[in-house]
Amino acid sequence: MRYDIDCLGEMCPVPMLKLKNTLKDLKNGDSIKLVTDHSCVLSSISDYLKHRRLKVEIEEAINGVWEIYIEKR
Amino acid sequence: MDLTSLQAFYKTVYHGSISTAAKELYLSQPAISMQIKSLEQELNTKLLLRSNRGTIPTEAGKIVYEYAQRILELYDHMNKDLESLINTQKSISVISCPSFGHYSLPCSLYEFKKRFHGIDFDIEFSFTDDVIKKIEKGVYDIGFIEGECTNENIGCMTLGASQMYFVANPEIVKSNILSKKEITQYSLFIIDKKCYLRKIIENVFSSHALDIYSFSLHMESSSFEAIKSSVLAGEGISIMPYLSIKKELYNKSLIILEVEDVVFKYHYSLIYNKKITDPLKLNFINFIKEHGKKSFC
Repeated sequence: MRYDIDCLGEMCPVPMLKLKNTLKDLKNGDSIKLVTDHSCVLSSISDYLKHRRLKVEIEEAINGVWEIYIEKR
Repeated sequence: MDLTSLQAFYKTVYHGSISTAAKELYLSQPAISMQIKSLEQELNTKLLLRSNRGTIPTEAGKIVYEYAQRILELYDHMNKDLESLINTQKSISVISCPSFGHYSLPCSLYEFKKRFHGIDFDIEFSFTDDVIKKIEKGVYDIGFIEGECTNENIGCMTLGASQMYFVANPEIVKSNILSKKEITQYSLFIIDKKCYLRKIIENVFSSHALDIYSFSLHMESSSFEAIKSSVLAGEGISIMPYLSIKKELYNKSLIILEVEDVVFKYHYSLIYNKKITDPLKLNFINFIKEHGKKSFC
């Protein structure tokens, strides 16, 4: 299952809460795409995910907007 | 029980005179007498004996006097404690131009709050000229402005460059590359004259032989959000700061129009009154200096 979390225009800590909520239900093989336009969201989410066994990829879609792909394997 | 009548009684006994008590409390003598009378009624006993030599307390009055002193002292302490609580509450007042305050500032304030617990921000938005005025007068601690400030009483720290672009709803333009002549066929939504960015736009226009009045129609608004909704609805084009349109550019509801070599560049600055000495506020300025670019949204 693929979850899309749109956090455009949302500031900390809302995106983090949304992400935590989705991570709870994440099963093996599931993935999340989170979009944010706030750099502090990007840094707090990458810090949070660092110590988890998840595959994380970050792409800067346009200047100042990032797509974070998270996959559970 | 009313503390003012207790105080009137206490001061009268303390000075042994209604007139002296009245003077100290900035009240009239009849007002003091009334308050003492109401206290006597409330406690259902006579408290004062009036004689030609002055005013002396009755036996009951002596007891009330003893307690009144303690009650009033306690009340005084309570007020002092409350005051010191308010004074040590850490807060920084910030005033920002809207284009920066709405889109860039929230992240840094959040980051700062994470590092320094228990700090409150009092945030207000106003146009650059007004921000400078209020910082100079000391109404606010920290200001964020477009451009720079050369006032000698104000410290100014440049934060970084930003850019404005011509934008439109992609459905109303045939191409995202337009000539100066083509761009003027559209209606232009433009930020109010009070906004510093308007000056940038006008300067760039005049150096490129463009004129606001050469557009088929132009409308002014004091808010970029209001302008954005008109542009999203396809009613015309506008010139907007990149920060305010990231979301719309990402989901492609707006596109950037390239108009020959017309570019709108400017930068943001942090300003503060040079008289600031509070370490908390200086800390905040340093934090922005060190982490500014990283922590802005």
